[in-house]
Amino acid sequence: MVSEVSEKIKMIIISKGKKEVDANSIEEQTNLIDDLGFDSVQMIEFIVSLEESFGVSLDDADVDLDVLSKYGVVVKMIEKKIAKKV
Amino acid sequence: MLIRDILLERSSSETLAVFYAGKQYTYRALYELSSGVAEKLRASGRATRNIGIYLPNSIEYVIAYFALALLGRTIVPIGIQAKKIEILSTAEYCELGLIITKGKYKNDLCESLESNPYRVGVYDIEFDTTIALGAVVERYQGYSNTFEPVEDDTAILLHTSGTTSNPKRVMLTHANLISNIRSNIESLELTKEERSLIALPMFFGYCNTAQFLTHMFLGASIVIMDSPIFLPHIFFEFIERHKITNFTGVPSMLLMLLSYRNRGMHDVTALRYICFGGGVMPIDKLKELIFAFPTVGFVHTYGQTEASPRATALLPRDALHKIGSVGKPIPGVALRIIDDEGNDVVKGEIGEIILHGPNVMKGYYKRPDVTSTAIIDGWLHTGDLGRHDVDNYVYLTGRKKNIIISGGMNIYPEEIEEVLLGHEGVQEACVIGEEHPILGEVPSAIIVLSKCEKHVSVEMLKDFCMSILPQNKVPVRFTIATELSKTATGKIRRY
Repeated sequence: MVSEVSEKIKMIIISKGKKEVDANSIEEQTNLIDDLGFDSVQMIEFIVSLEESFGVSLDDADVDLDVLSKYGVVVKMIEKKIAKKV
Repeated sequence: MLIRDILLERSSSETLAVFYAGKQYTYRALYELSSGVAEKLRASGRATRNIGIYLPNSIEYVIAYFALALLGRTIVPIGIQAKKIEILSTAEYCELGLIITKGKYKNDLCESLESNPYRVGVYDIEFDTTIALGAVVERYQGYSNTFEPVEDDTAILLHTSGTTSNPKRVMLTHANLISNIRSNIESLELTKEERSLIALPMFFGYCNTAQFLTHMFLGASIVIMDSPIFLPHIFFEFIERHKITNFTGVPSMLLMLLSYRNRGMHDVTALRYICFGGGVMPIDKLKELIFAFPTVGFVHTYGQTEASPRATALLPRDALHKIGSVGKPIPGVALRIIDDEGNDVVKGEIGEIILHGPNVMKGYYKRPDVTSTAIIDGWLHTGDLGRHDVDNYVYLTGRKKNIIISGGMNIYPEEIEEVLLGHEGVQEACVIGEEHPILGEVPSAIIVLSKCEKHVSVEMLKDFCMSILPQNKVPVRFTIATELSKTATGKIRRY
């Protein structure tokens, strides 16, 4: 389950980002803004995709940039949201 | 009046001038910090006539800006997304002997300048250190410290186009900027009680005059958003926490605010105005915004860097019944709409918008050829098409020039095509604007590959563009074609 979520998030990142990114190069510490050059529009599209793909709702605290810009932190946050739903 | 007088007149004021990253700076503090940096730059012996600023929106940007104004130097802002090739071409074109920067931007800058054909000083504003980079040749020596600028001297050189070659910067004089500031204040009836939120890049002409300098001139306050990207909930937090009275943005920002589901949960009662321009704002979305925020006045503006930049405004009282219009010229600015023969068109007919007033630029730096085609008999030919309605309100209808406007930024397709043609695998390239729901338009490339070349993939072309162009200019799509559609004269047909 864990790997399914993380792989899906990687795919979303790759589809929303402008840079050509290899899924294997996305690591826990990868920063979407600093490393992958995400801008406002890409970040908003990323948030919407997370909500739609996982059927979760992200509130303002979840979309704090410290949370949202790091791949590893996003994975943990989405996993928690999914666990709460079950 | 000179730009430095804006600060000098308030050098002992304890009023809040800037709020940035949790800290408050009064006008007095700003004056002391700026004059301190000015002295350091003077002493460095590298203070050339034009000096670069390579800084993000920050208090350091404000300090560097006023330090250069106090020194009487011309400010040359370089966008932080500029890649090596653009930094080098700017340094060469603007004869920069010194660039002010900080932190991680310093590392990028130093890496870019190492191969510069002459010495350029890099001043770290945080640590007060200067290093010299590039070849040992000293091309530009420190400028006379006794230079006293006058109102018609260039205060700032703002970038318009040319990433790799033919760079083109607009010369705005002290008189240009001060006149546009005054017109803007009169048009919006702004007071010293204003508190303006800055989220647009500060080197952007729209932000430079209409937000940053206008509020400093008033003795009001600016709040600089310290978030690396614009997100609606961060915007609303700032509006609420700092009791922001006005904000200026581009349509893409407004569309993001509209898509934010918690927008009704924030107190925006202090917010008097949201000014917007620089791109198409869909009328239905604008209406939705006006109804979603009934206490906020929406001001649709029109201008261009060459006009310092603001030329017209549609004030809140007209926002609904003249929706879709960019309003009327602001005080001091004259506007005509002309046909190809230079005659005024009749109301309702489409023609080119031309502008006249003290806000019209001095010209393009070192480009008298282009200046003479842009300014004719004192009138700035904008290249924008528009029409007047029966009440003389102006409506934009299109562009004569070939420009893609993406997220409020002008992108010239030829710049991207030039980069693409620099790739060995590209024989022909055509870049067009593709519609985007938030950014308005984004660049998209159609490529004809060279024959007998090794395999060239779309990924390779994308990476190539990424290495040279700022991100917003990298095409979102690369379509490989066997040939490009041409006009009878052999020019590429873009539409």
